[in-house]
Amino acid sequence: VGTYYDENTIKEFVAENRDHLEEIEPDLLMMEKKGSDTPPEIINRVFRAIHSIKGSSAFLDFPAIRQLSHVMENVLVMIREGRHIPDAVGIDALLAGVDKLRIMFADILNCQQVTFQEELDKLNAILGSNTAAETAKALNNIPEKKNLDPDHEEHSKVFYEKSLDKRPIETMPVAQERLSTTHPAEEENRPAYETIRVNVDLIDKLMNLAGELVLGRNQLRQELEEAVYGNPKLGTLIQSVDMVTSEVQEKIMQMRMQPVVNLFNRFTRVVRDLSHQLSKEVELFIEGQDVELDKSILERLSDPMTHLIRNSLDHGIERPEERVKKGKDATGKICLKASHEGGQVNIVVTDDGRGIDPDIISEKAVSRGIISRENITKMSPAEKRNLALMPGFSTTEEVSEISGRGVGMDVVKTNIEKLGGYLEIESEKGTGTTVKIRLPLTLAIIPSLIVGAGGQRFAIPQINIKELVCVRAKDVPVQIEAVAGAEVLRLRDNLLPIARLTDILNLTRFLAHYRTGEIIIDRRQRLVDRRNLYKTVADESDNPEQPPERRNSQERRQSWHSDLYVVVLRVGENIFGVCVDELFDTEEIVVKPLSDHLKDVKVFAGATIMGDGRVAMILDVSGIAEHLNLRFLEINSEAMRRHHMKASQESDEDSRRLSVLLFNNSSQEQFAISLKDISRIEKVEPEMMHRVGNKAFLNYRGESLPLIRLEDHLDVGPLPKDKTALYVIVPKAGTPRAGILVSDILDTMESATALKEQHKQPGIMGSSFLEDRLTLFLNTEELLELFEASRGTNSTEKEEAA
Amino acid sequence: MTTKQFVTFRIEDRLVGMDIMKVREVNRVIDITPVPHAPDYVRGLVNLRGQTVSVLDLGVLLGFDQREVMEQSRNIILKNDDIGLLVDEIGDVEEATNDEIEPPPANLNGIELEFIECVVKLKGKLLTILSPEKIRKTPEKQGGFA
Repeated sequence: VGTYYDENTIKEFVAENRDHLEEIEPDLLMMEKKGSDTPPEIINRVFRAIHSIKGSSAFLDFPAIRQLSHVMENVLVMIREGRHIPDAVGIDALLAGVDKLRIMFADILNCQQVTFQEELDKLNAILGSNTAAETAKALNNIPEKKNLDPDHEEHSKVFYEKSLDKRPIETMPVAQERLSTTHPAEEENRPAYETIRVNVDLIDKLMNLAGELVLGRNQLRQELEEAVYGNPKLGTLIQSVDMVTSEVQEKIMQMRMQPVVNLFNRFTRVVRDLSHQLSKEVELFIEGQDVELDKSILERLSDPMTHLIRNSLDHGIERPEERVKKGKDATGKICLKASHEGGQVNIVVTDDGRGIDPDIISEKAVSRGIISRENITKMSPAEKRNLALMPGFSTTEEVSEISGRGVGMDVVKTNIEKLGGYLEIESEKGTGTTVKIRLPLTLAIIPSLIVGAGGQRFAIPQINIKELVCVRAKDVPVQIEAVAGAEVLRLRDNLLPIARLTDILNLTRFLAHYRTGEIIIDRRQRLVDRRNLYKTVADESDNPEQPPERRNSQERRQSWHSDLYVVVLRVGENIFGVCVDELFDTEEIVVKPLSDHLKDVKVFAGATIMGDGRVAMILDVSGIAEHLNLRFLEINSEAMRRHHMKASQESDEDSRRLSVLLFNNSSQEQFAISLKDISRIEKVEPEMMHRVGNKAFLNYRGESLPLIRLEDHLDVGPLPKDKTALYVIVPKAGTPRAGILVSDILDTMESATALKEQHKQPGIMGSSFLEDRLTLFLNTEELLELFEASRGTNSTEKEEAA
Repeated sequence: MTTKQFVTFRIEDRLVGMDIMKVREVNRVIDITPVPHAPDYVRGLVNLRGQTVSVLDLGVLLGFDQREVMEQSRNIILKNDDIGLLVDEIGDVEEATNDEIEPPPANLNGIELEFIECVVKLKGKLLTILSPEKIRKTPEKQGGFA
């Protein structure tokens, strides 16, 4: 079998025909969908591909492949001639044939051993229902036909007429010419570009060389920076080398790039087969097929994606009757969507199934010992769902038997993270699940932020960075605190676990002196520990007679040398901060793998060579999180607790706290009045007041405002007589009714609303101790009524007297 | 009679050698980037014409203290590998005929035995020849990242 030809020819034959099979599948699925409306060009495309397989296999003498593809071709002829409408049965038979051909091509030298009777029977059944005799005849002819394809001249014509040179069939040995002519013919309905098959190894090598070229260029540029001033020609030269290098790198990258549709199309088949198997109705929607990803990423994405889609089909989408009962469309939807976002690729898998039940997940997590039942109670539904991503959540032997979603998700997540990406799940019970995957475009070159710690530089992949935060020196004690034994940064009402990179890496910690910027060794245990630092600073300072501690620390807190740079990193759902000494630029770095001696060092993902030729380590963010053993759960629940506390405090405050103004009348007694009751406070000189009889009035906004003396109406001490400047509190009312004359305004403060009944009287609500003094709380409304009542009686008295 | 050539180098006061055919090049030691959490015998990484090379401290491997990098220090880059060995000084190239090369003697202690390929009899002295293959396979039992 195939022994007349050398290995390379056979390899070429296999590779090409495997490609044909890849192309056929989506077309067949399309034919099934469209039925009799299938555009003829699709049928022709499939036909040509199968025909080409048949032709080349006959030429290279692989009878099994030829026989199977021949029958498939006959079915396609029937379809093309409209004698058979593509239906599920027909397409099933053809797909089964495609699968079998794939198996044959997978081990080409043993393809004769593969049995394909079952597939033949299926195909023949279709043929049989129409032209059994014809087919039988054709089949009988096959073994004798050593020459190519004369039995379906007509079909061949379609094929050859489209080939470029249109040579007559008789003189054209198909297989020999196939390489040069069939491609353009096949590509006819697609954009007319020419392709060449290149070994991936070769591209990888080119890629590495391009990486070296970039490094060389970077170094060259740095070295020549100064020389450029002396020789302006050099500038243009460098620039053009610069541009060409970038372009070479970019083009080689592009060579590795493949559209995601290559991957997505596989799932059409998965969805079709699996939904039949599970008797569910599911439609697959694909968006963003043109988005491109590095081939190696795409390949390694296949397994996790298949898992996600199987999950959606198996556990997510309900049976049609159940869906109808729930008021959903009987046909479930699974949507695959790819899009670009900031130099990264997002892939989203959405289904409109039953969603993930957070309680089932958390129950399972508890039974697996991943988390304690006690912690579960503190968790939000989203956090519970994310437990499915925790390592050890599912084990492979259970995959088939567990009902409930999230099976094997931890494995999927790990696989995605290995690709330098991350994954998150969103789900609403009853309405569906969305899994978002974020991936780098390529694995070979990653955009990274360069940071400095302990005098060394490190690269942090941009994909892991959420944001950069600068905590001003003076805010450090306020924004950083310790929770559950870890330091946390308060960031927009969230608690963010933080750690210093120097500590993570056991590097000597340096610190810029707050005044001189001089680098000294930092001996603080924690960022918030100031006293230690102060001592260090004082010890090492040249001037032992420093001003007292206080001024010193004040000064330090305002110095920019003490500002803290926090790189906020993301590992899956979890976010934490790493404090670094310095921030440099972002750079596109070429990843160099670590040698075996370093493979156990989990905090690094690799190394890279910087522009100056030095090696810098690339940080592995999930490795660091693991190393720190960040207690995300505890910190999250602490953050939640605080949210609750704050919320309840706020509502408490509204109901139980009261803002009051403290003032004196006589110097012995302290009064309080609710700020809500006050409209204005005026400082008054004696000349602003005038008296009518024993009553005092204030010139207030052109009106004459009656003044209340507290001692006239309440059982309290009198205003001091000798006081010249007094204050008038104008209570809130529609129109100012009266002002309360007081001697001194003391303060405003918060007070509990619960008052003691002691000293309660008309005009006084009660008393309380504020600032260690007994304070009487005025009831302004009652006081005003008392005042007006007394005025009324007084005036009536006067009138009577008159 | 076939002869073999050996690069010799010094660690503290010991002179050891290595088959010249297994050495790619000998470099001055520049700019080693330390790797935190690495096993103590790994000094760090250097850039060798765009390739990263792990520099192993031969002193630590042979049971001495960590080497101090000095003017005479050299980095011996092994062939077919991204590994360099940090040594105190490079010596002469020695030549030996096959009958001067002997298997390692039985009375060597553990650490040395671990890396020895053979022993060469030179005029009045024995030269220990290290095996790059054995060094490359240095087990992680040397400690390291916990």
